[in-house]
Amino acid sequence: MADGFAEYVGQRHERLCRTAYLLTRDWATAEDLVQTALVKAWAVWRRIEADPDRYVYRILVNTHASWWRRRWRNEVPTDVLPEGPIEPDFETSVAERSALWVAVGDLPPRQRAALVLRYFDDLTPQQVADALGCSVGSVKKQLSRALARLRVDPALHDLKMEALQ
Amino acid sequence: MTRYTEDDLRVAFTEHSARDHGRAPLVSEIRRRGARTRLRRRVTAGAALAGATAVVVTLTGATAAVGTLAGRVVPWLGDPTAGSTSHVLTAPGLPRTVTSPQGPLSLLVGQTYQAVGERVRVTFRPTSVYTGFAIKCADPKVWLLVRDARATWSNFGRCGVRGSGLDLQHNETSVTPDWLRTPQTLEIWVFPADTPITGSPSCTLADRREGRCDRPWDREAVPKMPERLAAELGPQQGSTWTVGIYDKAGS
Repeated sequence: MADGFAEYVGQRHERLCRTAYLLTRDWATAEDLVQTALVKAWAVWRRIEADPDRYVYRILVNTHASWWRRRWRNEVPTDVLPEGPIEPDFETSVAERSALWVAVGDLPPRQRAALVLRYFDDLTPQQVADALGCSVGSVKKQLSRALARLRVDPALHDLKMEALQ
Repeated sequence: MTRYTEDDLRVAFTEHSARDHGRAPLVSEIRRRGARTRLRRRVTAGAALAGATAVVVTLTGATAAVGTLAGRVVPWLGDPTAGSTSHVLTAPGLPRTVTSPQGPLSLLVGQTYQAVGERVRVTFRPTSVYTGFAIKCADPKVWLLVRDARATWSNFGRCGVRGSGLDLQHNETSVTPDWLRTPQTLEIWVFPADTPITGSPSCTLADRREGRCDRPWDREAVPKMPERLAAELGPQQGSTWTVGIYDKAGS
């Protein structure tokens, strides 16, 4: 059991830390968050070793949510999004992505978690739903709202591909 | 106004989460904490552990030495239990017996304190491996730390409102090898409800060596070094709390 666990930690630790960082925006907190999730995973390893990611992602998100609730006064969500150029620009610049990064930080934690799991960890909507402990429909709603607030248009992906061809 | 694509989102996530090297995973530390988590789950056996802990310990045939360094001890209440040679004492709010998967456990010692911000040690000689304990606080918001004197385990959190049963009970797998051979000591610390302890196990500007988390105390650091917090707060006459020690009589 222990060897399988050590192997899992060795393979997944950095990736989990990156996911946790995207949730917390602080590397020290992210590492603590992953450590806490792995402690909980170790305690039930025999039960989850066939598919540990499913459990670990869920613990990661839930633990972060509970920490965030306790510290909610430290974060002030805002409806104001940074403005970019008036005309659409399909050549993605570093500056634009920085603005996008700032905007993601202003999202409610649950929407941010849905985005990170879907677009960074490439989980399916069903897997995101498992991690968030909600229905697939609820995940789609969270993603849709988050993308709308960020002004991310899924349709633009196809347009960009066409423009490049 | 800029409109982004899903690819922009992926790139932003990838770029901002990149780093040269991070802290290596401490697998041994994870295992050690995981083992403690397992132990807690096993010994609680259905008791709610949402925050703090309560413990009961049983003493039969032997006199429990209950001591506090400086806190005021409220007089013992109760009377001896039939069939036992031990000095059986009860305290307000503690039942004489509690049910457990191993059958009824008898209250052998109950003590009420007003000791806040200081260590209270309860030494007892277990008579079975099913020793349990329970703690009740007049103010459910006080912070409660319970740990064994060897610091092999601890539970820390708000005292909360507890039921009439055990908060924690040992079994064959959770006790130390010398459990029945030597006296055991439980350490209990109660800190005021308004103690500046963070809700998060992590915080910025933390100095783990000093147990500090910027200004508030790190919740994870307190169980490891309650002496430092106690030294800062000093002993106080706070609200009362009661510890009860239970065990399987005649084992």
